Amino acid sequence: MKHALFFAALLLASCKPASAPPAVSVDGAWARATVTGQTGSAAYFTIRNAGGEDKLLAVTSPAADASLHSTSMDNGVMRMRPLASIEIPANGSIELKPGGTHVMLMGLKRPLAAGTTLELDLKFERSGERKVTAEVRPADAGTGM
Amino acid sequence: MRQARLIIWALVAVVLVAIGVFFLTSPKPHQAPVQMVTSTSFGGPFTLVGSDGKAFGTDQLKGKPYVLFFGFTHCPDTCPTTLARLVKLRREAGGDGAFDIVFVSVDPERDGPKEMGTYSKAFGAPIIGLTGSPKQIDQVKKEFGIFSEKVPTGDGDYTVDHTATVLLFDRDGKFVATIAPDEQDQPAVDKLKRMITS
Repeated sequence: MKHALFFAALLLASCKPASAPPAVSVDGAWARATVTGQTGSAAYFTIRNAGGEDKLLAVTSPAADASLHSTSMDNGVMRMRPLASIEIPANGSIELKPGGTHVMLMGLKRPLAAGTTLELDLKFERSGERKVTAEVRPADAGTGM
Repeated sequence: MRQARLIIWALVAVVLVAIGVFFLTSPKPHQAPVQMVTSTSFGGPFTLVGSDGKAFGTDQLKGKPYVLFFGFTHCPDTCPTTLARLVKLRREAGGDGAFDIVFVSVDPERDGPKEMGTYSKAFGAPIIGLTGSPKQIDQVKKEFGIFSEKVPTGDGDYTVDHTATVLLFDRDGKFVATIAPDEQDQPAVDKLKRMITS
């Protein structure tokens, strides 16, 4: 009996309580304009979450091959690596910014000119899909870090 | 006998201290190569190719301080961010003419003189873009302790991991300091000011 109680308690403890539904919003989306000949760039935005945890699973764009990437510094060496997903904490925010986590845009179908916009489609685990319009800023925008 | 034993122990002590000093002073293997070299042994004269397709040598940089940054024009994040930041910091440290910003490609296969020229003009202030043959670039990377490595992105394309540390040289071409990619603006500006006046 004692054992059974113990295991029941263990079982309960291992079950994560279903968290509150997420309340995700995306703002400040922008992408860096390309320079003649460039077919790649990066896009950034901030995800705010006023609810339970969520996960950003993918970013796509009709204008380019988009993928989530992290930039990390390893003894002065910049390393860029694909990210499978980004955890969005409950009641928290995630900022994608120059020199950090970003959406890498490769194989752009047209140059990105400052003043135009770029469509991004974000896919969240719990919040579903969101369309975001990123403003294209000049190549020298964002000194981040 | 007692004396002999004492001498042996003294010798052991000396050897232990020597080993300790050796390990404490020898460079740690994981440190960035840039931080291990001294100003006198660092860098060296080089000849690369300017955006006009003509040879560009270190002698053309003499008389004005300069900062050296290695990267590539297809770099989506770190390179434009660093170059935009250097332009901003240069304005804070003394203005667009205070020193030269030299951007050297670690991707000479894709970055020809034309690409370097166009790219370097995108930051609203003068930047000297340099490239060269893969052999020339390898030589310069070696001289300045710069690491770079191509990383395939899966679709036949590639990106390049590379040292993002900025190297600072005075008007005589002497290495004076580095700016780390994650360094705050204020210490970076202070270093640039010291470079300008040294």
